[in-house]
Amino acid sequence: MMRRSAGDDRRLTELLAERALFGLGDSEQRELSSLLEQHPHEDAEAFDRVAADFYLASQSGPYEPLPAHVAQRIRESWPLQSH
Amino acid sequence: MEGTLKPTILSRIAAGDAEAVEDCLRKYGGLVWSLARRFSADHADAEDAVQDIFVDIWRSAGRFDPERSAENTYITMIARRRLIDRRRRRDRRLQPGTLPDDSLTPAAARSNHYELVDEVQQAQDAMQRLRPEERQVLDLAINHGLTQTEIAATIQMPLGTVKTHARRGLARLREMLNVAPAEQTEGGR
Repeated sequence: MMRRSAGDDRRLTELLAERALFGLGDSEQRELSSLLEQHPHEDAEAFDRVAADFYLASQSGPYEPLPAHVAQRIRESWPLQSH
Repeated sequence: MEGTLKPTILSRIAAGDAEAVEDCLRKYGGLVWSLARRFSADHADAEDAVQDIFVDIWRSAGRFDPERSAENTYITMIARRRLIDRRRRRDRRLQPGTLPDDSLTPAAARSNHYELVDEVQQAQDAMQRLRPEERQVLDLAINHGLTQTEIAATIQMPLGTVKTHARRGLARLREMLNVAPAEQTEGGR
């Protein structure tokens, strides 16, 4: 089992948080992939879930409805998922 | 407990249930559309974004784990990721110095028509415990889709400080919401 250095931990946290909030550039994404390969047990989506919950918790409803013609386009995309 | 679990919309989609697509659009169409409108430059861009997001949802439905997150959290996560990718590609520049109209409205002060799950309720509580500057930076990033540079210009704060508040705020929320750093949490909400 690979031992995690404090530097790795800090950088991994930075990159995961940045990805969840702002996205990553190509080189940062490669760096993150490499760190995650070294630490496969890291919960790579934890910050994304927190950001999603922050968004949901900030909203009041009801939401603006999805326009009907957009919903129709989406219905037509459904068979794509089985390809 | 396991025997009483109802299939989720996403598990039904993963199983190829076409009716689940209708249920998904009915239940989450407004959520995704509202999010896309915030991140998109115009109506047409939002329409394309929403379509991309739902195709992603169809493709990712099989990975949804209800023990790990609520369904609306997962849908929001997919939507945000796609919208951030699109924005980075577009490299849209917002005018600094103008806050969106509904910026920084405290969640507690808003009417609450939203059907809250525990996970979201906990997030509301945790948000109130963040430092004001952390909450402000996260609000502009998450609810309004601003980049770090745009946030720095909008609230006239050094970029490095924005980065620090963003990272610390999100880490504090994660801690308060008790999202385990490595191993999968039990229940997750």
